[in-house]
Amino acid sequence: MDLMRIEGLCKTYGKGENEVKALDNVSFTVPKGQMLAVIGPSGSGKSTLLHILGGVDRPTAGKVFLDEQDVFAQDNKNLAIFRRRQVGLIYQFYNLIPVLDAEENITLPLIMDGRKPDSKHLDELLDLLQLKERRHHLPSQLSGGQQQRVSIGRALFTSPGVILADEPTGNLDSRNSAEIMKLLQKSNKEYDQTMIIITHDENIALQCDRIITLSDGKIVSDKLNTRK
Amino acid sequence: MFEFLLARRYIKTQKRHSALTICSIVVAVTLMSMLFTGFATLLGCLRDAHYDQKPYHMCFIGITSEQADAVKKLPEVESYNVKKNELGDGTYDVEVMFKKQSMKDSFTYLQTVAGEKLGVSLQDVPYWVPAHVDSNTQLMNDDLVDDSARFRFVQMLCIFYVFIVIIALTLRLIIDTAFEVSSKERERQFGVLQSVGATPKQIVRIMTAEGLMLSAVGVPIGIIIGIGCAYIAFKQIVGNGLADAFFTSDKAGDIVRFHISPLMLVIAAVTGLAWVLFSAYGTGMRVIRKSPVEAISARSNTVKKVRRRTIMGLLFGWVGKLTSRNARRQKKRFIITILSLTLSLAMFAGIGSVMSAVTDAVTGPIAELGRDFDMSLDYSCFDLTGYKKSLDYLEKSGYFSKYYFGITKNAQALDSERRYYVMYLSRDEFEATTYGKAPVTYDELRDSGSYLYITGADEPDESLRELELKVFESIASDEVKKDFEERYAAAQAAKQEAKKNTADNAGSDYEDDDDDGWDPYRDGYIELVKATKETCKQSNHTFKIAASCKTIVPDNDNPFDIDANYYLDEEHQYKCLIATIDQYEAGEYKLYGNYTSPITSLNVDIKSPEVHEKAVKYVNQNSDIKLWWDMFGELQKVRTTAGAYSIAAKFITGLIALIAIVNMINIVSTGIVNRRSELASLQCVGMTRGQLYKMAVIEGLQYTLFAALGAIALCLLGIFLTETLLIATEAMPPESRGKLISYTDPVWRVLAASGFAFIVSVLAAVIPLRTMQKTSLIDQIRSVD
Repeated sequence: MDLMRIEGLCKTYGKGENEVKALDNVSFTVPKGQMLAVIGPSGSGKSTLLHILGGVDRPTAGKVFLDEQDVFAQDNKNLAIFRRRQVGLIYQFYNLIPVLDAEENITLPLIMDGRKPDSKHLDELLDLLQLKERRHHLPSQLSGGQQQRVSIGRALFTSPGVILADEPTGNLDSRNSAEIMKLLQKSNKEYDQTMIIITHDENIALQCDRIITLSDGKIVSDKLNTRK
Repeated sequence: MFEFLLARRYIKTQKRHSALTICSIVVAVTLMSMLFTGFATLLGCLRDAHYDQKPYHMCFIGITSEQADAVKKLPEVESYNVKKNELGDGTYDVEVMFKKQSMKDSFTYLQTVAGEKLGVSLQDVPYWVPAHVDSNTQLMNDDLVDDSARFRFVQMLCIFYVFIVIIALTLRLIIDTAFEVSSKERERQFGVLQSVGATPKQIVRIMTAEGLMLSAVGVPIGIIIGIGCAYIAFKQIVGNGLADAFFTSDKAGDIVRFHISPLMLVIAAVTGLAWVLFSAYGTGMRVIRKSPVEAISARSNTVKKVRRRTIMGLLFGWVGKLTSRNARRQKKRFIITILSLTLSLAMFAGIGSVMSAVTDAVTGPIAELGRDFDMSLDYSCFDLTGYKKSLDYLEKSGYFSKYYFGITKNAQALDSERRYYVMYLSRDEFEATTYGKAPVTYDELRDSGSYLYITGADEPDESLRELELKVFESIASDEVKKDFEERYAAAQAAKQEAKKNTADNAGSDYEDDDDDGWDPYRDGYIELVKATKETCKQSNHTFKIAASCKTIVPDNDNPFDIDANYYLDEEHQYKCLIATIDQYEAGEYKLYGNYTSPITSLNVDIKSPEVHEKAVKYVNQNSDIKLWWDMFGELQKVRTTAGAYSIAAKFITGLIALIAIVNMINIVSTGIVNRRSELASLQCVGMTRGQLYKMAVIEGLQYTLFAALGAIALCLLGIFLTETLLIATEAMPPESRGKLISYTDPVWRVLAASGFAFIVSVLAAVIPLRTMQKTSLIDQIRSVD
């Protein structure tokens, strides 16, 4: 069964002569539990696609359905709640809140939702992220890899329908990159978590179930990864 | 120079930021220009006041025509005025104005000129003989005639400048904010510039060049607006009667003029420019502190330590926690803001409470008196119905609206020594004296020809309907009468003579009479009373009593607090009988012989505050009427003086408040702008706009809450310490603690002012937030990432 359905997605920046089509009629579906990689050259529209899928940006045209729910039919408030509950975003530069420690950053979406974090679930996740000893450290006291793990923890903690990762290893060395990918694969397998990963790195793409290639805002190829 | 090229390009492309920076420069320079123009006006007014007293730098008195010619030819003299000496001895007085900076020391110059050139030795002149030269030292200082005056002027300017610099240092934050916001936007560009070879110095120069270019627009506009604002403030201050409070001269209106000093404006402009350049330079220096890599990736905005438990966290949960942790990211600024806000709130509330206590102290006795009139007069009508003349005189002027008056007489009970005061009151006076609570009306008394009996502390005797008393027929012996009339006539004649001599100072005639001459009020009264006691005839008369009552004033245990009971002694031996002036006129006056006793009162209300001065003059012109108490005038003086102090205090409070508000706006708005990407991240992980605005509101609340608590504590401590000091110095009895200034009064004032500060802080947070919301979350994150 398809978890996500993307129909005729368009995104245009600027007007008249300055008009740039970041996404041009992009349509595809994502079944539940799939680990999907989106690759393509710079300016192909990868990040724009991810932001629209995450409800961070609105498309110029087209629709995104998650669990058959039209994401952009919602007002701004509900869109924020959608981001809080149904998607988990992982950025290349982590985007952690500097005044909150690792644990607080991870539990933030749940706290914003007015819910109390389950300490057992939190301990398990911190164990998985290997951050138990660092749970009360501020982002400035963590390494890049650790910060990205906190960012992943934040994305996973609310058990959202889909995880969207924008170059999650782009700012990390090869050892840390490998660790982060292992973590993402583990959560994909253990929790049957759907994942969409934007990447430049072919090695990372090859660790995914399916690879979509974008060029000039259009899908130029959409293949299942048979080599995995 | 590429620095200027880049600065110019940036100004052109980022019009909104440039406009914001120019606005900030305008605000800052406006304030500077306002303060300097105010200072110039103050100096100018003082100079005019000194000139008004003596319109010369030096006046050579009683010199010969040759000496006068020598004075005219002195190279230091700019202008002169030769007058014949008043003694008419053929000598001259020469008033001289000197050129600016024409001498080293005015005293030495005086000795040289007077001693050598004019042949007058000052040392030979005894100290009680008027000097041959009169120096207007203050005016010479104002006009910078000698070196010491220049030194004093520079000294004064420096003191003022230090005051300005203190304000400037704090207010520089306005411009700092603008530059900081603008530089934050370009942090990445600066990083790139450095990475392609720009030296840190060049980066600083770009910012400084930008400051210089924006100043070229902002400084002149600020100077012009500053002069305008100073003029408006000046008009307001003069309109509040401050000129009269500070300058007692009759010509206060001419002396207090608005002055614009080019020198002061140049200082204001230079200070403003320096101010902008420092800000631009400082911002440049902050920019280059980051390495190019840090600037490009904007990764240096890190937090090393946070407080886990905070008051705001406990009160407002996770939003409060985020808010207080964010505030501590700029700890120094946070503390300065809280302190200045606390101080301004405390000063605002403290000054308000003190002013209200002062007003209460002024108006309190009047309120306790329970009477409200503008002037209290006495009139010398030494015949039974002579008061009418004074009333007619007053009515004719058209300056007065209400007349409260009465005539008081003596009577004694036949069977005892108990004395009665019989008061015949006008309608207004009757209502005022009985506070409208008499058991019988004015008309009822008049129509029945009866009296209201005020029994003092005794219970009202309802059965008492008639009272037979001995009436003192106030007839003095013929000798006393004759003597009185002669002396009264002589006093009147002396007064007229004195009036001729000092034509324009009618009021002072009375003062002189009080001290030196025979005063019909003081001396005549004593003689007449003496006459009454020793020689008056006494006749029996039956007074019909319409009603009786204990005391008139309700809720007042002290019977001496009210007019009607004023005549009751402690044993209540004296009683009061009140009747109407109509009864007196209808024939009751015949009971009392030829002279009325001078226990009379005539209180009046003026029609409007504008006629007050004319009314005083009008009253003083009539020698039969004496102005005992100009309550309106005194109140006005007190209010004007209190108003002057209040304005000065408000000005200082305003400045501190401005600093506090600017700091708060600065810290809140830059805090939001600097956290742009962070706030966008929060929204990306699910924070709603509502939650974002809630955070902004709590952020504002945080400042006002802490400042309000601090200000309340400060005010209460201030009142407590003041009272303790007053009690320790026996200036206040211990039981009065809490009565001088109410402990609750400043609390309400602090809360009201905090409300305003809260609104400002919320606006400071919400406005940049709203602006940010216009761009997408992606753009907000990318602005730094």
